[in-house]
Amino acid sequence: MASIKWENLTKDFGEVIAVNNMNLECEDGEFLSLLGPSGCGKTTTLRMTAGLETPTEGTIYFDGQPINHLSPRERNVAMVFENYALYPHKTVYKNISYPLELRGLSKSDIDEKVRYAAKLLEIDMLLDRYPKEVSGGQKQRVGIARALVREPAAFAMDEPLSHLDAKLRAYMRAELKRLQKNLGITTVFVTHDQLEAMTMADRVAVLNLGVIQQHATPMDLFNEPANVFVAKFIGEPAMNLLPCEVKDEGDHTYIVGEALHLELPQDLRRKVHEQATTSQLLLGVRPQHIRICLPGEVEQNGKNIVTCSVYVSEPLGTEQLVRVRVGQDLVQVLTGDDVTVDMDQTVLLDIPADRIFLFDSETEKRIA
Amino acid sequence: MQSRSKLSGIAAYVIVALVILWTVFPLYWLVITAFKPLEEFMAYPPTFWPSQWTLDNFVEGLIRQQGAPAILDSAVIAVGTFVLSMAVGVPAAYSIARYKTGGDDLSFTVLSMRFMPPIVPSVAFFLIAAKLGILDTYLLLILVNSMANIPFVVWIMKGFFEEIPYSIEEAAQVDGASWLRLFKDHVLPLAAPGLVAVSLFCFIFAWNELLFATILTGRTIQPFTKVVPGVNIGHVEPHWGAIAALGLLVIIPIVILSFYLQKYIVRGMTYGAIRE
Repeated sequence: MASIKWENLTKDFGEVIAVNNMNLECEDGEFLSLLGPSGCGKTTTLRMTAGLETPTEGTIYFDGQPINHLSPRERNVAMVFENYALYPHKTVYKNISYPLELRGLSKSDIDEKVRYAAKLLEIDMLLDRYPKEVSGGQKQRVGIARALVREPAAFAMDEPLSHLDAKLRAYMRAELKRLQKNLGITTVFVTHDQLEAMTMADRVAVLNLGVIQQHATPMDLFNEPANVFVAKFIGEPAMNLLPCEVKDEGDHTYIVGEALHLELPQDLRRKVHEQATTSQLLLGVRPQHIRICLPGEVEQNGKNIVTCSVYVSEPLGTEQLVRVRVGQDLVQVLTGDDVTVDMDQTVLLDIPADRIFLFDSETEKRIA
Repeated sequence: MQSRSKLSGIAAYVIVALVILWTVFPLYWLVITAFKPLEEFMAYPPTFWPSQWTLDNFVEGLIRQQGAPAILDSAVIAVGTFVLSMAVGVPAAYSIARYKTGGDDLSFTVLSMRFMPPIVPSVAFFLIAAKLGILDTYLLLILVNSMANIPFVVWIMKGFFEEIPYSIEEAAQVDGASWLRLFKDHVLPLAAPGLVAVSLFCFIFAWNELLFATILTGRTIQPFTKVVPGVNIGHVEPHWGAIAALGLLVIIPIVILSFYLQKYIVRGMTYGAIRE
């Protein structure tokens, strides 16, 4: 078990800088997720941690000790590969037992541990098969079993669930999370799926273009996104972002967009005046937080009410996703199935002022 | 329609039979000649089955005509060539495949050494070996045969090594394997079909090699390829029986090797799905 610290970590591949001056910490026993789109540097960071890539600059510490100079086998990190990387010429049993054989454990110890890990991951009936004889999901579980059989200092998992079908993925999410908590082994988990990161990790580091955008707990990422990138990346359906402009009229401040005219509460107003570098802002509001009303339900010209027309409505079972046209933009609204709307029908959107986010359109940083 | 398919079936059998006859007949002739008594293998018209089976030809070939030490010489050269070619060629191929050693063209440059007919450098080899004082030694023939074999080993094995996904080696490193260990545990088994094929070719090449053996040896080293043409009755007439007996003996190791190693080649093919 180990805490991990990445200090000023940079990886330069020549044409691209995969990781750019990254500073990050993962506590002992923590489940840290590196989240970002492809090419954001998350896998490179993981590979540097496991020792498969050498950092161009910076230091990686395990328990406060720099480990840059250690080879992969000296680091005691167990890795799960996105493409499984199973040994095709060895049976499932031999795949799982391999790290233990290298450590010179006795045959009976190896057998006990292999069978325990296989049972845990429900692959104990596959032990005599070869990798090509088991399904994708089973391969992935063999990969995970091979990693956890040796009780490493840390797990490095590179998109371990990406090749599973939706049902198995949901199941494995829960299983992995429980397993990690039970074993208490520090885990760095790379994924591009915000749902995986949000549901499993203690803390999430969101990366883009090799730079950490935000490092926080899942709930903080959702409720307090640091910038436009995080706001867009976290949450499903994604946050609505509408260009708008701040306008002062006497004592009141309004944000005005093509079809928008919302009054800012006092505290937001102060923040906007203090922090905004420009009067051009981006208004962010999550689809879950918008209420959709029919004309007559609320006062049409009331506070924070936007009049618009329905573009399309998609029922999702217990809820429905309604896309409405606000000026040139499409806004997504997640609402219950109690509202019935038709295409091109005029509706009113109630945007609660305490639920909105404001981003500086120049720096893309969050203002409020 | 039915008669037509029946006809094409018969045609296929006829063709297969002809091919088998074409390949098996010389072997059959070799075997019966080796066991025919002297007057019978010289007889005209020839007989298609020995009237009497005898081992005289083996005694004649192996002992009186110096066949036994010749086969031993060939074995030393073939094994030595095989060991040296593999020991140099396999790591070189791995290095080129994995680390792009020498850039993109090195393996082709190495292969291009084979474009030249072996007769071209043989005079140079002779002069160099004379200077070094290693003419007529096992060492020289092993070196020269290996020089011809190594480009082939590098070229073929490079392809096999490139087929092995690097992530398998990375997984082994992370699992705690040293480089040597992962090479032995994963790279070699996964490249086994290539290794087997290449080993066989190396061995057969050196086993059957005549040109260098003729030019670069004197009285000490006498590989069987050099001895067999001199197996005579008296001074002129070839002793076909002894030649056949020796020929039979020298193809046996190759046949056994091929038979034994065949299963590795087949098993290698079934890995096919290494890539996910």
